[in-house]
Amino acid sequence: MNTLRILYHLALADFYERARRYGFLLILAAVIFMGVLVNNGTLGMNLASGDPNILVRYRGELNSAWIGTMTVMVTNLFLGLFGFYLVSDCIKRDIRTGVGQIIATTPVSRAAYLVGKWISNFMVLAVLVLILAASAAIMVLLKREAALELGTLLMPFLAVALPYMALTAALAVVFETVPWLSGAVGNVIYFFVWLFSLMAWMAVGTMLPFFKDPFGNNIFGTSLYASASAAFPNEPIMKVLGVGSFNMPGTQFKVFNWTGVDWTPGIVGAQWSWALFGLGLILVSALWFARFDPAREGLRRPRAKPEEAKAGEPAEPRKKAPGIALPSLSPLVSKLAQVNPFLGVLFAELRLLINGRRWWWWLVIAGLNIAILSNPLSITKEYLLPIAWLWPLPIWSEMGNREKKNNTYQMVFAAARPVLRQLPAAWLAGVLATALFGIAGAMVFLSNGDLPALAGWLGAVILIPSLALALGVFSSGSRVFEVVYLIWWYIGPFQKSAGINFISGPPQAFLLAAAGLLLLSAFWRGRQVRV
Amino acid sequence: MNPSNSLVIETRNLSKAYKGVQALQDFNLELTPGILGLLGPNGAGKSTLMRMLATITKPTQGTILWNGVDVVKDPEALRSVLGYLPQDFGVYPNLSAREFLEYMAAIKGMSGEKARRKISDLLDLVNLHDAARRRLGGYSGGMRQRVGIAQALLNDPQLLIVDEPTVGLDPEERVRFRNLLSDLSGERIVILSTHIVSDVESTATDIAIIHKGHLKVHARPEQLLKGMEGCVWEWTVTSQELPALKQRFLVSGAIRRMDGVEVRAVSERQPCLEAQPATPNLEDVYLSLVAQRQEVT
Repeated sequence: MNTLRILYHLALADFYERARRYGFLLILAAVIFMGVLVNNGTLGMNLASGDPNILVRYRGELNSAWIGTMTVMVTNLFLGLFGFYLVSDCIKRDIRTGVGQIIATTPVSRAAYLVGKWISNFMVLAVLVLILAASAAIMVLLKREAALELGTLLMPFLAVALPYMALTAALAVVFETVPWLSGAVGNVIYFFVWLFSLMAWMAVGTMLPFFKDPFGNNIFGTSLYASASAAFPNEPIMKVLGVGSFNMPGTQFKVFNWTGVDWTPGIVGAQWSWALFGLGLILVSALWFARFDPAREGLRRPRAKPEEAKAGEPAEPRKKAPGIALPSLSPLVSKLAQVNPFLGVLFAELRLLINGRRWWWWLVIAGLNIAILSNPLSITKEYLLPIAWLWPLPIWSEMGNREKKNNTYQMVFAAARPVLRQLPAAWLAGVLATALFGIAGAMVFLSNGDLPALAGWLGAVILIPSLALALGVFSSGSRVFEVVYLIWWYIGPFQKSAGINFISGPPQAFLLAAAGLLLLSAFWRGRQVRV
Repeated sequence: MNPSNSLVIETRNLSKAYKGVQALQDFNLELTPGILGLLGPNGAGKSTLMRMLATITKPTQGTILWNGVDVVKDPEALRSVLGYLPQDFGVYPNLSAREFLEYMAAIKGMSGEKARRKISDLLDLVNLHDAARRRLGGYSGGMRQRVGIAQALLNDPQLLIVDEPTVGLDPEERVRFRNLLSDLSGERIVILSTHIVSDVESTATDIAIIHKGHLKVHARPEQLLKGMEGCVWEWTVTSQELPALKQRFLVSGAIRRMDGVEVRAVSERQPCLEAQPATPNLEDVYLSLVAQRQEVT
């Protein structure tokens, strides 16, 4: 009983803390907007034709079953990714605020604490699901194609969306708890876990006897395929459910009647077992949970330099009596800064940006550059350069938010020209560092006379730090950039989608975007400084 | 016999090393109900000691016994009766003081009704009743500190560990907190770490001075002050003489007067003919102990 009380209060306080932030309103607005996009048909779900030459897609009548399911699939697609990043800050916040060290002295167990955080994460995601369920009900009423059947509409939410959100919430806790999964590396890993699991479940989900994929692809796909095949028996219909944006001119949509999945306790139980699986992962990850012990938490942070005092270490003996032989305090600025104040700040920013990396990190950078120099251009463009533009993500993700993260902003913003000197210096440091990380690309493009590729390289070198700086300043954190950049990187440079591939696309648009982002950074930083 | 009289916390050969750096070494201390004023320079190992006593950090060696139970092995034996106020702590800015305390009460394992009553009493005690429903994000530093004090007292702790508790409090609140600590100390063990020697002077029943991870002294304030009798001097010098004087003697105070600077120094011998013996205070004791050690090194 007492454990339940602890869990209740842990989850509730954490939920209140998040739900009362201004940022949560923005998230609610974004989710409501997503509901609108589903309502107006921008986002949706359908079955494709097995013949790629036929522009036909199959969808259900806009009844409660179809709209509920479609909303759930869109919800799972987006909240499965963004929901993770949205909630994966609950333990770090306790470390950051210092509340954690008080919690550490209480009788609450590691497992209870982590489970409480899981419930809180789940509550946040469940609120978003609830909003989308309401928007689905509104859609049924607006479309007037069928009567609103609440049970049929809500079952996909209860049986599929909520357990999947429970799993996502659990993964967020696990990633925060395991030291090497916490931070930028974990964010990148989750992106790929999410991406490849989507694909993998589509492939193997139907083969499993009991467990179906947590996204709901197989449960809904099988049922929809059966109904569509019955309605159009002579047409080749793919068994795979398509979810997303389908703005395909000329496509004919054929409509069939689908009354929903025949829910059984077995299906519902199997989906909720994913939540139990998540709970199991949390309990295992509790082994890594440091319980806010600074001696163990310290392992998560970059090593302090030897000359920096560490908490708990003995003080160095005072070498000289106080008040005697004061060191010379003039000149007040370094030689470099005397030559040009901007250069002084630039080098300082550059040092901040690239210092603190381990030797193996630099080894990978060196390896990538050597590989670029020693491989054909096609391999460089296809694989090596995209990897080179992903590897420094942890460095870029610190841009623009380092001051808030390390609580140095009061000092930094009180220094001379924080917007007109420090911010451009931080941006230029990012550009120079990015150029350094992929320098071999410029060399091979130049030596081969591949000027369009060189221009693309330059576009990337300028765009990436500009995006990092702008989103870092705007969000005062690193996750927004990490998520936006990962998605952009995957669709653009990795999948080579025209128009957003900043590696090989014409750089003009990206340079223009970079200039805009820089101006936005200056605007937002100006607001921060004034506040 | 009052049951609280049986309370005892004891450290035996307690050591803690961080990556080869010895933060605390062979630390032996035994405490019974009362207030221990823990003094020491920055980095002496005070926070490490308190974190170990508060079961946050495990020692590299040694044991901590709470009423005979080794809390390194069984921290739960202590946690339910422990109140801890860290030096740098935060709050959830979007919760009200009452909600934050309800949250803390729950994770301390307190029942609903008992917790609600206690929270109301504590909000009165720390003078936050009127602001109890305001979000903590809008609180001043001193108000947040008072919330921290309230959470430390929630479970009526038998062991109360407070690290720099009066930082950010105005003089009136500071006195109020000192009095509160004094009232509490009869029934429990209070460990008070601070740099404000006057806080220790007015409240501590015992004093421990820690330096470079070692316990230098653990005694009652009267014993320490008695030991310093005849070693503290006051006299007036010119401003020009002061720098040279600081090199020769351990100066514990210097106040500008119309006729020069009134100096207070610690010395076993009379520094000069004009020097008059002064009544020692804890600042003199502290400086003499810590400064001597530094000179040796």
